Amino acid sequence: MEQIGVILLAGLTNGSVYGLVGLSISLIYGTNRVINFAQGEFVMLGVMSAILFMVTLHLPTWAAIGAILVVVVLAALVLELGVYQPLVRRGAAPLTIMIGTLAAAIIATGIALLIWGPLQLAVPNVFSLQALNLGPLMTNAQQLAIIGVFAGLLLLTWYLMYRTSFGLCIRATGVNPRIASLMGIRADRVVRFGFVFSALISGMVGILIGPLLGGQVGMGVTLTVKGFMAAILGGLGSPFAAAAGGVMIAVVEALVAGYGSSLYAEPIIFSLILAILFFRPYGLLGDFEAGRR
Amino acid sequence: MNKTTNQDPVVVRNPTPSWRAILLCVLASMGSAAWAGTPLRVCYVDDRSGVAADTGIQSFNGFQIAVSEINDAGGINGQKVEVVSYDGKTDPQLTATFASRCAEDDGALAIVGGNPSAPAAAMIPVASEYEIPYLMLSAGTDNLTDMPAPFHFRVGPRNAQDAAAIAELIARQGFKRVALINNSLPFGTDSAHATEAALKTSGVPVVIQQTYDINATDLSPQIGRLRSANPDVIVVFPYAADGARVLRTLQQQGISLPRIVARSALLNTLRELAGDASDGVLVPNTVDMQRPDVKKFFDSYKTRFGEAQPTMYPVLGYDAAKMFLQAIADPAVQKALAADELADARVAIRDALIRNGNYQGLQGHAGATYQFGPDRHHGPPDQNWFVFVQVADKGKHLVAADLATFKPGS
Repeated sequence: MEQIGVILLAGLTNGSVYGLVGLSISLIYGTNRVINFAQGEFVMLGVMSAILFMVTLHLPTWAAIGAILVVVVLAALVLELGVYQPLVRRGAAPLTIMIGTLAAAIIATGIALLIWGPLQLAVPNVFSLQALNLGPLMTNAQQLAIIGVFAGLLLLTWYLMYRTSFGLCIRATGVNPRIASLMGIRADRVVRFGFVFSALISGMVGILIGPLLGGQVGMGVTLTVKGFMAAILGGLGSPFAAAAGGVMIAVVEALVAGYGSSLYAEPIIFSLILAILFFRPYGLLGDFEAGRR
Repeated sequence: MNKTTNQDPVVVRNPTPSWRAILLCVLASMGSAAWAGTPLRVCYVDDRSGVAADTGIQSFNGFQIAVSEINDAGGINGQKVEVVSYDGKTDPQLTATFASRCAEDDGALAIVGGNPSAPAAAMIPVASEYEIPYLMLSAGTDNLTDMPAPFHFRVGPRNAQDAAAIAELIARQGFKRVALINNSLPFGTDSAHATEAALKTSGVPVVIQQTYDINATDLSPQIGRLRSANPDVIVVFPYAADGARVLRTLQQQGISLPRIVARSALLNTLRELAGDASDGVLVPNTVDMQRPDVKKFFDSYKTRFGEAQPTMYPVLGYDAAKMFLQAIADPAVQKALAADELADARVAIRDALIRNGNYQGLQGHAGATYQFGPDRHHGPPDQNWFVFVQVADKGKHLVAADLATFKPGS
């Protein structure tokens, strides 16, 4: 019983990270039907900016967090105004825009390399890394904060999407931006909000996982892949489905690690995703979300 | 390509053919006595900005020290050695492309580099195709220098040798229940399997073996299973950041058993990220700081590049450069160079590396030598090579291992 508890807690912790990245990818996809391949780079920027503001500039923690979020928001605006909008104005297909975001990710990594160098760097922890007992389970405040922030951001996203008129605009733009525009919705602003909000989430992920994973300028790619897997499994286009997909992937990973070997986790997860997509091509919760619209 | 510009005599450049032609014409018309045929150019190709950048940078620094020493002493027969360097970014395809450029465009006499195994392996076909000697560094995958290995050599130890050294230490220290934990990348899995096999030979049972994903933020399931197996020593085969996570999780769960971490703990990154959770960890190394020549080398390193802990990586670059420089001073190589026969010079360098196969470098215990030969292109011998170091001062320093206290129950 204790073993399954440990596994589920580890799955929930890792799943919160994958889920938040998946949620970020899905938020942008939900507004413009484009997958942002630079999403992991927002996380990387969050991690590396934490080093800049907390270690190099010695800012107080909360000032540093504010500065980190400003950096990722600026990066999101650069991506939206410098890559997305120009390509959209020239009538580029979604696939072309996706390649544009991939190019932006590579450029961002290159710039980060010039600033922070190639080495893996230690990132200061915002919350304590000391052991914390939860009954028979053991964790630490930083890991609990990841789960807490995941839950909080899910709640915030749900409220925004389903309890505000702006959320209605977001969903309408996601269904059909042209009709949304005809209905008086500023679709371009909704898309910009998607970029900024998803970057904020990714920046917070960076602050939380940096002390656990360390910071390296190339770390964004893996996170994008995990987030993308989460979004595909859960259902692309629904932030909540993507988040659920992330948790599911991590729980399977933890179960395979706990009762077998992590060596086989990825093949098992990809087989699982493939099997699920055979029966539910829009992902586990894709139809549910489509119905809600 | 990274071009290093510094004020020492090591010249890093990549001249275009037209410039080389002009230079040739000018020198020929001057009838200069300084002209000695093929330039003494060597390529350094390694990861210096990817995940294994620590290793590539340190090895390149060691490499530059060796080249500077020879150039400061007047070069080889009055000719300075030129270095062309490329950053392969842990990308096998990019690394292979750079290796081809070294062989084809740069006219290099040899290629040195290759710390991570995958890009190091990617340069082997290039070396064979262009018949250019290639000295790879710490790439540990066992079969990289299996014969036939026409033009490539390995300077660093292979994973099976690390494994044998770890198994021998565990048996000697009297441990009876070994737990292995490794990441799911080839380095982790290969090393764990090799260690398990070596321990079996030594008669020490492995009570549990766990594998984890390199990006997992929570390793509690694996560490929990380790604990439940009740081992008396834990051996970890990680990369830098995940290794720190393993050590921190062990500390967090109150597991204070003796721990051995593979050579990745020689990198500052792992120890910095782990902090005091890494203190007391034993790490296999090939550098014996009791040797005066090794100490002198690290003093030179500190003067030029800042302080470095005594690890194999700077030494690998230095030893590889020294072996190459010794080879190009060989009369057969000089004859080919004077005749401007690049292909012949490369073959002669390969043969000289084999002839000078018992080179005594800075790796290993005093008196230990490399053991290259016609049928053996892997240099490090199985005996007298490994020196265990211990992590101290919250991960900041590597000190001589205190084996008297590294016992079961300690």
